[in-house]
Amino acid sequence: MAVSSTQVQFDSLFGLFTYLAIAVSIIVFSLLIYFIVKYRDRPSSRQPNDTPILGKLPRSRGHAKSVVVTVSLSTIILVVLIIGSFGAIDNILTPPQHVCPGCAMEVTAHQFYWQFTYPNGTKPYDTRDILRVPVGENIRLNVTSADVFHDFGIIGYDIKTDAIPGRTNVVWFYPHTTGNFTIQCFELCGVGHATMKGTLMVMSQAAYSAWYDSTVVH
Amino acid sequence: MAEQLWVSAKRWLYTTNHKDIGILYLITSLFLFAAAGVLALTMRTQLSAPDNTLLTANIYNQFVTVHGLLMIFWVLSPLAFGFANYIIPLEIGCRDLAFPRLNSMSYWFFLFSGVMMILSFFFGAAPDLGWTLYSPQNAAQFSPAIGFNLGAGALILMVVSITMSSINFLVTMFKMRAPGLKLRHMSVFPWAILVTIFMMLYAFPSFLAAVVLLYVDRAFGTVYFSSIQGGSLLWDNVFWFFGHPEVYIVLFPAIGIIADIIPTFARRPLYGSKYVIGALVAAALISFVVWGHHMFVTGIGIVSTKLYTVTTIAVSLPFDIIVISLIETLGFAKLRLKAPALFALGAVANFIVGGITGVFLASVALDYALRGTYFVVAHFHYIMVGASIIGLIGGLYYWFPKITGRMYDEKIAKVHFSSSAEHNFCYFTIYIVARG
Repeated sequence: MAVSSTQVQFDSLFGLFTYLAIAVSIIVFSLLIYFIVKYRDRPSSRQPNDTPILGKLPRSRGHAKSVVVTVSLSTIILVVLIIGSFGAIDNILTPPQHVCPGCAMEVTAHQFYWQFTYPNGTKPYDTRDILRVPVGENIRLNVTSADVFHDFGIIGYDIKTDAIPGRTNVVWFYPHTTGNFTIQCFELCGVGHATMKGTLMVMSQAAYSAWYDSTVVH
Repeated sequence: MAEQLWVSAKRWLYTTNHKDIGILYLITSLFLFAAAGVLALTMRTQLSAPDNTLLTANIYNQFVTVHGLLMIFWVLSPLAFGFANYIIPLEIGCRDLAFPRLNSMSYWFFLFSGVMMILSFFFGAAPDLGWTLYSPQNAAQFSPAIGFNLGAGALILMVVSITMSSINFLVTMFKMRAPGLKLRHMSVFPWAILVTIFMMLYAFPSFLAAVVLLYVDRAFGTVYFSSIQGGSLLWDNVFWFFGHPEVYIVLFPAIGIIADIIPTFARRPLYGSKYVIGALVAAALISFVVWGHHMFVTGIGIVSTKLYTVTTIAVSLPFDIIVISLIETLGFAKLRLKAPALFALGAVANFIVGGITGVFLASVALDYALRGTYFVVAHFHYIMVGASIIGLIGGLYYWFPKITGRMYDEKIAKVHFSSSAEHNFCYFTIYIVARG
């Protein structure tokens, strides 16, 4: 079962790309291998009548028809891919205007940890690498960086955004199931990059609000 | 004996002959290829077991960075331009390049910049933030080592060398062709080099500007890229405006070599060579308007991302024409599967895999998941090693008899080819790791 709305979107689009890629590869590779096997040099094979002769310009060959066919077939595939992508782009890049209270967090990347700030100002320091969110709600994250260029990604959610100093990027998702997921930095940011991990803790709505209400405003 | 050595050394040190300089380029870049390969092997050894302690995080990052920079600037391009130096004057019928001394100067700049890059390891630390050198981590505040300045200096010197050599080739190819040899009569290799030179001429100024400003930032404390007001995105834009054409700069010479090798061994002229040349020109033009796909998740906005998705997907069309033409060349041929042909066909096969997975990365929606993962690593290694390096090695075998006057051993060459095919196991598994 898909763990989030973005993963559903990604899986269907990735599927479309993969099926078309496999189909195209099969056609092109069969053609390549067939030609190599069929027209390899054998005692019985015929000498081509247009073999280039030293000192003479080789005879020009090739039909525009072949180019037209190649380009039109490719264009059809590519247009399908573009249309598929555009739908997903609109969805991913249009964060919901209104999210529930307690569902819009600030994410600040540091060398080498993640700091999360909740709407009521809570900024847990001892559990700073843990992001708690309720299941079944739209979650909006404002991602920025305190020092260098990082990239905030949630493994399994198939979502990512750069954490850039002086700039805030918005990312959103809708978790389908509770559980723990890994948050990771995806841009080489220094010696601690490999260990710059966090946890996305998707909690039931009741558990989340109990925790959220218990937090003290600093 | 000593006198002979001196005569020989003098010949190679003072030479301005295009063939000698071509050989110097080839040998130097093969040495640097070995250096970059050692870095890669050490990294893979580190990664072969969890919690391995072979390399510290700091050293590992330096290895990643210098491996990337060496391969892109000091191996792929110089290897291709070694062939260009040797072969282009022969193919267009002139005695030497237009400016032989300038040619020699570009070689020595190239050699010393490569040495400088490697020396950076011994001055504190080499650059350690990936070959893209993202800002603001490239600022002195985050990467204080003096070795980084040395590396940046090496990059500046390298661009100077590239600029001199592109001007040299440009003048040679436009002004010194044998009488009666029209541009449209040139085969695909000279054409590919010509298109590459134009891309270099327009892409490298952007990179030079970036590296000079970076150097000034680091050495004199200016804030072009370390400023919090958009320094990061400024670097991204300036770097990737150069960065995407650069991918084609290292790829096109290999395509040119492949398109020369396959017809030779198929014993038929290239199918639709004028369309292949047209496709190279088209891809070169489009390559200047696709850089935004490296910045899909920097928050450049919905309209820009859609625009770059379309241009990036469109850039695959010219390559379709090239691949199909290369395959059609084999039709009704008498294909001799000698070493150069094997490498050329292998490069085409790798290029198909690398090209198709490139379309995945062109779609911003997929990029949201794939950015920064092994999928990208696998994709560009298929293009840069699978297509470029394998194609260039095909060129080494193809022109080896011409350059040395001796024939290589066909059996050893075939063993070499089979062992090169092994890289498919390395890179294809990386795709699977990425989605695993």
